[in-house]
Amino acid sequence: MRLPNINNMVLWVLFPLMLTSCETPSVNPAVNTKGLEATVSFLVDGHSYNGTATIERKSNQKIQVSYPEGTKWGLFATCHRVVKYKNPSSNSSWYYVPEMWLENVDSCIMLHKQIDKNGNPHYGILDFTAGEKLPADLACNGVRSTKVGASICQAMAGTYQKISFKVPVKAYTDEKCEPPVKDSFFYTFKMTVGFCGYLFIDSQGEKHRLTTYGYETLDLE
Amino acid sequence: MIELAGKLALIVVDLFVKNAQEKEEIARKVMAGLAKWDREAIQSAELRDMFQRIEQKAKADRK
Repeated sequence: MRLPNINNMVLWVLFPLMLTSCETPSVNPAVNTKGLEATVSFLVDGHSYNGTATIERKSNQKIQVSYPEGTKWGLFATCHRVVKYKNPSSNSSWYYVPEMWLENVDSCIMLHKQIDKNGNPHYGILDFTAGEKLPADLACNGVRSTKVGASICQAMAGTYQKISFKVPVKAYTDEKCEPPVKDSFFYTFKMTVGFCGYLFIDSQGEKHRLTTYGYETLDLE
Repeated sequence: MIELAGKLALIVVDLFVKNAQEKEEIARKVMAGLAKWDREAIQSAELRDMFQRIEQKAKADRK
């Protein structure tokens, strides 16, 4: 039997090692993208929501998030607090008690981020009503809904959405956002990347607060 | 026989290296995701600021 040449053996071992160590690691573009679609499912006081939702604010809310197996981090942020859970269990609950005069007034959305077992991010956004009363019909990303007081719209940045009212209203927004365009009782607005705020007020002073979240990348993971 | 054993050893080494690289890549992505959260976490407060500016604008308009 012919003995193997030791030099050949070394080459056999080293060559693939050199090849693999020179490989460029694949990078998920979503990690570095400014706006990623919100897709995380929530269960709030027994009602399920997918991605984004406007919920009636209460003094104590049970917020359940389902984490896929191996999730590395579960992160929450409001206008007042940041909470983090390392390696959260699959169905974690959080009793959210909004801080008086901070989290229970005005806009104070809850942002949720999950970092999955592969290091990919996933988002969820909860908006809460804050005493506003003006109802509106929202046509957002192909879905029509009627919301009282406050609403949230998530859609691809650059697309047009529509909100309408039963009574004449005046619309206000920030200079960073696309101004809404009026057409009789409805307004169209173009989704900007990230968050934007719109306020609609009728002649009686009743308000509707609309939050928009425009994403650039679909969450396909 | 020895050649076959050598090839097998190479496959094992290759798998080991790829696995280590994958773990390293995941750890890098997790750290990047956490670092990005440092900036993302204040978006709720920033949106609140935005609505307060809008309210001010509306109040001024109604006067």
